[in-house]
Amino acid sequence: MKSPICCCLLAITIATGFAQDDSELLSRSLIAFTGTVLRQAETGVGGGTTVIVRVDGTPIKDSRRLLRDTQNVLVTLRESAPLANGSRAVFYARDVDFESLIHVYELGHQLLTEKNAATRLEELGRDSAQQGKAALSSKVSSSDAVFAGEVADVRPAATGTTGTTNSLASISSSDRPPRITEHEPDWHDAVVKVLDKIKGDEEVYVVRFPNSKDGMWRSFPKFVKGQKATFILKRERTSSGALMALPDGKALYSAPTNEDVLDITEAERLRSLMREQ
Amino acid sequence: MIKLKVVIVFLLLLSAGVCQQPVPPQVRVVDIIPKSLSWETNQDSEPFLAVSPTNPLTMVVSAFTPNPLPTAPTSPVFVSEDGGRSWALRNIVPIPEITVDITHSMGSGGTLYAGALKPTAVPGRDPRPDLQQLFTKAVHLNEFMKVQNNTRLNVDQPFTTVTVDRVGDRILVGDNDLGSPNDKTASVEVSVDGGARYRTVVLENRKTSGQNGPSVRISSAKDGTIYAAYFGWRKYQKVDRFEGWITSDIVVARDDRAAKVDDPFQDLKDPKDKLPGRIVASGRQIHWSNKATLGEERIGSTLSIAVDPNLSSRVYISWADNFSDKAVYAVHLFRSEDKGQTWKETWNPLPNTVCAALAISDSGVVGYEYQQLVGRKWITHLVQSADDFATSPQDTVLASVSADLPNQGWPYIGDYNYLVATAHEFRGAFSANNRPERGNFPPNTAYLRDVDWLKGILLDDAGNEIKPSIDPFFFSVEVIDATLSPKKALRSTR
Repeated sequence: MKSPICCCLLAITIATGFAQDDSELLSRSLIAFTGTVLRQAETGVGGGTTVIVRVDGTPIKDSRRLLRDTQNVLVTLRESAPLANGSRAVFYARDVDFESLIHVYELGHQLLTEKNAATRLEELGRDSAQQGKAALSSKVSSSDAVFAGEVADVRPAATGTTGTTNSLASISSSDRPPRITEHEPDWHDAVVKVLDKIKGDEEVYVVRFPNSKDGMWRSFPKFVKGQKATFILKRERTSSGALMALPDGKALYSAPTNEDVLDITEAERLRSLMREQ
Repeated sequence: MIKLKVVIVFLLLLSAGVCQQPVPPQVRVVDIIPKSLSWETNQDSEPFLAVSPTNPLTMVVSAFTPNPLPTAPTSPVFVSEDGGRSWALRNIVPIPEITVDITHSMGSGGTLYAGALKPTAVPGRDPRPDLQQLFTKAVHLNEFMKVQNNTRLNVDQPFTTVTVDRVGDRILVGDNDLGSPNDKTASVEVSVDGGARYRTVVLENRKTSGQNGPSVRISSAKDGTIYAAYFGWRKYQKVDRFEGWITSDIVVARDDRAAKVDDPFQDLKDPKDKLPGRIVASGRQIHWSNKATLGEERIGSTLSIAVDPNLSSRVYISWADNFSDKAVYAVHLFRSEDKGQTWKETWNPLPNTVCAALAISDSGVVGYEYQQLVGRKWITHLVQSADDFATSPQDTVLASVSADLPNQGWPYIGDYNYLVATAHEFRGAFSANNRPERGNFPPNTAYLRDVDWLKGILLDDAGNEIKPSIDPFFFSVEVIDATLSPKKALRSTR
């Protein structure tokens, strides 16, 4: 009931007799951990077999944020057959609820043996890091500029930007009156001076960002003068795909997620990724 | 002898009525952050509550609470299935990480309906908040919500109400339709068939300053009478990018046929211009401020309306304004006894107050929740009146907490709250500083997350101290006895 997608995948798996491998499960997971089944829990929400599992290891970044070793969690198994008490396994999941205990709905699990438990934990960490590296590599590859830089100035967004706007209020202003809203983005431009060039030729980039503290804009990185970071930027484009530019013709860039603005120390790692491409 | 008996009986009745001390209502307050999230320090503001009409033990609360897995494609609501004693955070809303605004209501069979804003990226344009109208028939089974309607683009403050009707659930979502090409934006999304079809009804009938205010509130009586309240913005004087002064009418529209007509909300006309929508108060000055103005809170959109479920002529409205540009921001309480034709002020204005929420119980008792900044404290009240505030109402202080927590963004505690009347209780939600000090909350207030009451601190599951933050709280307060109310007699004769 929790995830129709999981049910479909299970049906496909059964129909084809194809066993999902760890790597495929890992790529679909938001968390993964190794654990030992302590006992069967009372029937959980949505039915399904639910067991109480003691966390033994959390090799993946997001999992480490939520789980710690020796913590007990509820795991609703994908299949109805329970796991025996004392079983050790790697559990993979996308859906997590938060009750008295953390409650994960597994995509699947891989049983561990006494022999391979420690090795598998290491492998899982390595696989996860590899997948993270591949995602970052892809991001760098599709970006327009990568560099370590320092924010030299932050100012209200320039008006008259070619093909763009500087507030919700001015979107399609030709066919409707200006709007006043709590969700006003308060666009600003960060002028970023390049300290260490990795991809792209400019010495200075202008990054447009919403400076509003309203909840709608919480996931957008905010910039302050003097801030140093490693930037992975893309050029802003209009809905027709045309590149946007400031009134003085300078290109306009954006960094819409925290993954686009990394710690300054990440520059070398990104340079290595570039070399490998 | 008979005369003596009559006198004794009279004296007994008199003593019962006059000498009877009001008994404080039963109160329950619960910080609903689950134990497994004891480490969190989010600003979980702007809570909203839905109670299942068929099983009042099942309830759903939403807030500005992110999915603890930031890369997840879903966002959460809090679900209780035991009348509010315990709560689970369930990630069932198909909007990544967090909803911008979300309100919800429950219909027949415990179906949960929600109106939520999804930040939508639009190439070459600013991201905009689009309205997602969602539902699930099995929140108790943790079923993901599905999209029912997503045609409203660039919307603000969806306000979802559901009434169980013979032919299906009647869903009304008030919203500020900023995507509209004209200046009349106060709207209601209407479905009278459980969400199979929706249509947009524009409430505003007069010229505006360019748009209406964000708040559109709805309340329905059992006889199918529906009231909608909105701000008729007539003039906007800009101060800067974040604030201005609005000249606004406070307007109430009414529909007498359960919104089942082609052109609903036309039944209450103003006596002056004969247009639909009675102007309750005109030309009020409202300080619109998108920055820390009342403590850390932004202001400008507080509005609530509630009709007596059994007496549709009796309706209350509350809103906040500054009256004039030199006066303090204050919440006002007015009522009508004649289906909105005439209104009178019912209680003193409450200065420095936000998040007013009204509900009226089956017995006719008015519940009024609000949050008031007094000195350096936010104080959350639920007042109850069985006599239309003719005498001092019963006041339950639900929280009295420091207003000094750093602001993580807006809303700080919320642009609105919500209050529901069930058979014997007022139930609601509010957001407040979660520092666990006994003096801050009513006795027996419960925290699901780990706390040390003796030290007055929050703990994570490893026993480390956690910084205080804004949490959502659920409350239930027993409805006071309405038998002595003069309205009781009135209600029984109609």
